[in-house]
Amino acid sequence: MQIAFVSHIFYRILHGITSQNFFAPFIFSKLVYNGGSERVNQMIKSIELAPGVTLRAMQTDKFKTACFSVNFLRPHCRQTAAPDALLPSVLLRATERYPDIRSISMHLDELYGTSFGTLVRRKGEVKLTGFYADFIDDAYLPEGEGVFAAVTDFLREVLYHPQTENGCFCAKNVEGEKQNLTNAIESDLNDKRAYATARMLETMCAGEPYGTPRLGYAEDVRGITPQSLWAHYKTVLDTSKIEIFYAGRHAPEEAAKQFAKVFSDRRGDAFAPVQTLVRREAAQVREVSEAMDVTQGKLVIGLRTGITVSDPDYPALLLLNAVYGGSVTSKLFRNVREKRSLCYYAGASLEKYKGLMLVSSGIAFENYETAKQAILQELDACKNGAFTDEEIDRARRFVVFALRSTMDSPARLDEFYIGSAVARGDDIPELIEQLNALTAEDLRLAAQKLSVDTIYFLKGENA
Amino acid sequence: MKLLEYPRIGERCYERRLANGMSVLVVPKRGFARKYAFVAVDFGAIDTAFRVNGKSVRMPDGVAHYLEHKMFDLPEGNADGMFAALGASPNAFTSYAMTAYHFSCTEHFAENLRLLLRMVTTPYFTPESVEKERGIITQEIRMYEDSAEQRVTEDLFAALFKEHPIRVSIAGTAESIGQITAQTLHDCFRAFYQPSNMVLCVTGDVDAQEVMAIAEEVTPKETADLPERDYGAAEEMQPVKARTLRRMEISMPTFALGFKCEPVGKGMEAMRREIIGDIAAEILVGESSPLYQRLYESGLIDGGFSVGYESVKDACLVSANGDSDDPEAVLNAILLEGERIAREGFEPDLFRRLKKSALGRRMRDLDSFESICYRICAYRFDGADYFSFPESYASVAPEDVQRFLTQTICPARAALSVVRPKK
Repeated sequence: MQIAFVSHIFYRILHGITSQNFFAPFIFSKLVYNGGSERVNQMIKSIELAPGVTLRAMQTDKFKTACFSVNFLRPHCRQTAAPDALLPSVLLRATERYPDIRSISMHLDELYGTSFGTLVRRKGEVKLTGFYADFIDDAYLPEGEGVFAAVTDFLREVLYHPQTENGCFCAKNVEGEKQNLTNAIESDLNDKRAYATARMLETMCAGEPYGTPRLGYAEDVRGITPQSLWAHYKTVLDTSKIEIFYAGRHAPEEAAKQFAKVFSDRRGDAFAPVQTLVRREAAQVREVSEAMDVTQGKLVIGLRTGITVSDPDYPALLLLNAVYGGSVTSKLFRNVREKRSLCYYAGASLEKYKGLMLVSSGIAFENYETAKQAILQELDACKNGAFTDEEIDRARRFVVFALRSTMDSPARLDEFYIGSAVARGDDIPELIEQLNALTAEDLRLAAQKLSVDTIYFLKGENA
Repeated sequence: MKLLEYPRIGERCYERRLANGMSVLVVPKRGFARKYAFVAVDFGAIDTAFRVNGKSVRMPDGVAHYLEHKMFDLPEGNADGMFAALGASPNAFTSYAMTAYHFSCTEHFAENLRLLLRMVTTPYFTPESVEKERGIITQEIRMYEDSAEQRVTEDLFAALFKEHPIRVSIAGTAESIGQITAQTLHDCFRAFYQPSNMVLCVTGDVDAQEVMAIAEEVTPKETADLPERDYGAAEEMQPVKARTLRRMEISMPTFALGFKCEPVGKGMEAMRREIIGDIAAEILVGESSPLYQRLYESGLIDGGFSVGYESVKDACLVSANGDSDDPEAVLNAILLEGERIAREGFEPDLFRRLKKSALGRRMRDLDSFESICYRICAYRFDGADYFSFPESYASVAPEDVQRFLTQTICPARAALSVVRPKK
């Protein structure tokens, strides 16, 4: 249990969400400049390991931690959202050699407390399902000891040697993880801000694949059987593109040798690329509300940006988001929180693959109209090009800082490079260069493309 | 300036105590773009009752957090904007035991550090600005009130402790913060924001000499005597209430359970106790324990379950939390397991593996600037040296853990807090 902290600024708005959205894709095999003049030995290399299996490896000696993620790329849609989310959990529940969660956990303890977890990410309408491992770098272990090879061996065990009965997954493992997944889906309700965001997205993207929540629906989990999941497992293994990211001291070629062993039995040759449907403009503005026994109202506004990470005006959108609501000097933070004391948090974030912007705030019920008008008024100011040099300068520094900091965190590096496997965009130095060249007019043009789609309000029962 | 070397963990630390009593520590990290500075004040949400100049004072609940919000105000404007102009990303937090202000940046580090130090040593509170903040903080409190996770933990602390102020929530209540004025903030500032009650910790590719020079130049020359804190009478090991129940708009019951432990002294003993407590919690119902597996396989807990040892000044506990349809059954199973371990002991190999695992995780934690600075400061306020954790681990024996478990995990020390869905 974490002893609670109470922060000056709603942390997730500024860091959690931005870490997913601020970090644009990258081009491979390039030296990265670290904080300006100093050239650091941090090089990303892309290597094809097996049919449809790509490793992006970054050799670095900055960290004590080495990490990797293994991602199966799937189209995100209602039909497969639930089994996609369930599969990694069932695979990590029991294997031939490690027949229960305790033996798995003990094995990871023996590997100096290696963390090995499931991953279910969504970038636009691309679902990335798989595993993430985080372990001590071999350089910090006693002479002759190493964990990297052992962790990749374990990966192979988890992926290719699950515990089976009658030629498919053990029923008790599937049932247990179905229950856990159902709980996870339903517990969305416990975090009212996440719940409000999910409900807004469901409304806004109804009829689009993105409208299905990341983990799917509880009713779809119910229908999964050990047999159907086994069939899904075979499909995922044989037809998905696989993207791997590794950061650590081993040379890319050496890391590639280890991962190639994991996928030595990979079959198939046709791996369909997965794409995201982008609606560039909202058809009309929808306003919906829901009542619940809560003490604070949650206002979430969804906008279509008309710009994705692969578009040339993406840097302008990135900066506009920071000016409008993505930082402590943004229009929303200054005017809705600081000047009018309407809320503790009011912020904007981007989904750069699908082309969405989310504005989110926690307010007193009776302030709904006032807060909504204030948020839309600041949006109009952006559309009218009402930016001061100071605003732009501060937001620019904030975005550049976030981009540079990416290089200092293995987890952010992973987000960044795996993102680049999903949709092509510019690399960090180019992005920074473009950000530095942007003018108020570029921001105004980007703001012109924003259109409000859905306004969602979670209010009190008697409000 | 002293240089301390920690070859076992591959870290080094420059340290100096300024004439005004402020401790400054620099942990150099080569090759990183980010630079991070953290000022911790040994003043947290629990410090509401104290004695200054022989006079007892009682502050409204939530005052440390309110003060934290208002420290960003400087006579020349709000520091958020000034940090932003210098490319830094600032934030602050209040916990039960400390208030901390920090920023990270990749440019203008020296200017940002000056600004941070000026900010934490400059009180500037006007009645208007204090009034304006009330709306913001009230909404912040409302947000926490809707969080079952937060509520269930706060209820547990209130059930376990009778006197200790950990039983009150960090941000206070809408009512308690209603009593806070500019004068309240001034009084707390004067009492606790003394250089000798602060630690500055910096991590990144920085020049230690320069950090020391800036700290010396920017912080006040003088320091005053610190107040004597009052956390109430010594606690009995019996909880106030064994059970609490609340209903909220959630999907399934969520719980926090805890076992009260004796307060521990300061210094390395505090760190040793924490390690003993953590390993004990893992042996009892951590992911590698036999009990965890039984509970997980029977569906009584899920992957969100966690267990650990916590201490806030004299309030110490082993706690576990998670979601379950039958929290009572989870508590009973833990009590039975505690009894069994008291009787039969635990596998020595489990102890060895858990120690290895915990050490590996702590090592990896050293990649996080936030974690390094927070822990260095928190341990320092307890009189311990964070980077010597490998030695502390080495000093813990299975008997220590066995003794701790036998003493702590029993019905007389347990409380269970549950939040259930409305329907």
